[in-house]
Amino acid sequence: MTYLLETRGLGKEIRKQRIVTDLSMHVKKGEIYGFLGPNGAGKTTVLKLVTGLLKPTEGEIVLFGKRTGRNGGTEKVDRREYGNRADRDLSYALKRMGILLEFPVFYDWLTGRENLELHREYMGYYRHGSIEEVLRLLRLEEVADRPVKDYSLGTKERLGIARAMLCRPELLILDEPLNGLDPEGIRQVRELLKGLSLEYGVTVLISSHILSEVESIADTVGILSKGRLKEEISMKELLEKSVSFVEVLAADRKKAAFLFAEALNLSEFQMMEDGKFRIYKEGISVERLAKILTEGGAGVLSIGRKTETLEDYFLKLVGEGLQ
Amino acid sequence: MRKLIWLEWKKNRTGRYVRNAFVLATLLALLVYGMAFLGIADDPVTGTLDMAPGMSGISAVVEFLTNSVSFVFTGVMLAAFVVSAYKNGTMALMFSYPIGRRKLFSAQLLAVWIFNFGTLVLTKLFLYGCLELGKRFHETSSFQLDFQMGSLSFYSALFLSSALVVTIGFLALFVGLFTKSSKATVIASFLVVFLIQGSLGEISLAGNYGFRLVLAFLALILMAESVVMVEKRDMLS
Repeated sequence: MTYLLETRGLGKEIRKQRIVTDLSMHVKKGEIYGFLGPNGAGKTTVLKLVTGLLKPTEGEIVLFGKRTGRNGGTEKVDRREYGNRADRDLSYALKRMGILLEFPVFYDWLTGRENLELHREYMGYYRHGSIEEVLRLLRLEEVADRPVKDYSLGTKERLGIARAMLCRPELLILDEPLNGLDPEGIRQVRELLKGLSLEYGVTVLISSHILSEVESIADTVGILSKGRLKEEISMKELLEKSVSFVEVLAADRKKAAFLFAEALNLSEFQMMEDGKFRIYKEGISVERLAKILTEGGAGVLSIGRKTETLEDYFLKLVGEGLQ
Repeated sequence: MRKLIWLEWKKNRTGRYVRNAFVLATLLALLVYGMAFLGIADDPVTGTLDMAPGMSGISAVVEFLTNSVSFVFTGVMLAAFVVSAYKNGTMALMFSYPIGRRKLFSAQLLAVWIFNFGTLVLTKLFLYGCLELGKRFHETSSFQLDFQMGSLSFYSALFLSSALVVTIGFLALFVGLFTKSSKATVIASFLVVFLIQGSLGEISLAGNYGFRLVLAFLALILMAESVVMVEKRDMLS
């Protein structure tokens, strides 16, 4: 399998603090890769390493089939020669990438259109009509000729996405792009990314903490916790692995817990933070559970069969990491 | 490189600096003209020139004023073009472009250097030109008009001293980058003015070209070091 982006044993230490450890991620051409993790997990650091803003402490990064990280890894090569080659290869890769890291930064005194023109100049991309096209796609035509300093956070975010998309990148790297967007904006960006991936074969690496948004568009997810990649899994595999359970909200929780343990002899159940029970035992019917709880005097407020969401899976993994 | 320098000027709204430089040059020309021909630097009681020792020639006044303004102007531009770019994140944006960091950083430094060198040379020529013109209308001057615009050595000295002054002005950048502060950059440029142009009693380094050469050399070394190191540094913010 060839990947558009691959990291091998990537690590980063900043001021003697370990931020990323032995990270090996694999992004396939044309897919949407959701990069998930709680705040401070190291997502932005990894994306900065990939885009060359940070230099790896160890490991290597392969972009478009070429090693771009300046760290020489374990290979015995001339570091200067390796560094120069890696820099050349990074420039080659950056030309094919669209990047939006953290909050989007602009020359605030210039208009949105002028910022896009400037970006095009630096990227050496001069396709006629490209600016109008992204302005239209992100619905920015009306504000395009106003200085960016007058933009709202959401509009800046959309302009950041427009800039990342401007030069028709093969790999789009978006760090928390849905921050600051209203629900309509989120839906719009989600549709746009799906369209780019499906119609133009653009590979998208998107980091987010809005799990449900990534869940609906990602082909693969990588889950990061404390600088380590806990799991890299395709959404298809995830669905297959997803655990089904019965969710119960009882009027008397203590009595319900007693009934699960004593009357039903269940051990595979847990009470969630919202007070609902999850019963993982296979083959147990919703009707039978409802009957036992009602007859036992626990009272049933709601009951139904459910499947674990990406959020459940994510929390389980990150929770394990915390233990 | 030419295009990168042009882009630096474009995105940093260099038109503002052109306008400010023009206003400053006009004010300086009026001041120098008044001092030379209208007696504004003369003692009102004795009617003779009232200046510090070594400032009886008009060229010393022109050099003092233009160089001092240039140091501060260079400091302000460096703060806006380079130090602020690190602070507001636009430097990280620049470094995500498919252009070598060294090239981008060099373009920033050159954009400031070329602009200030050009401005300083033109301002000096403008001021000397005004004085040359004044000679035709005024028979006497409070100062010795110790410059020869018809001589080749006048131009070579003007170009060389302007290059030295602008290069020394870059010392402020390294203070700004070290402290990560635009204000520190501008304050450092004032300190450079005091160091080069100021005097303490009888002691002054104003006419010491050896000292200027040493400072310019130091600034060049720091510039080269910064350009080399920029490739290796992490962009943390």
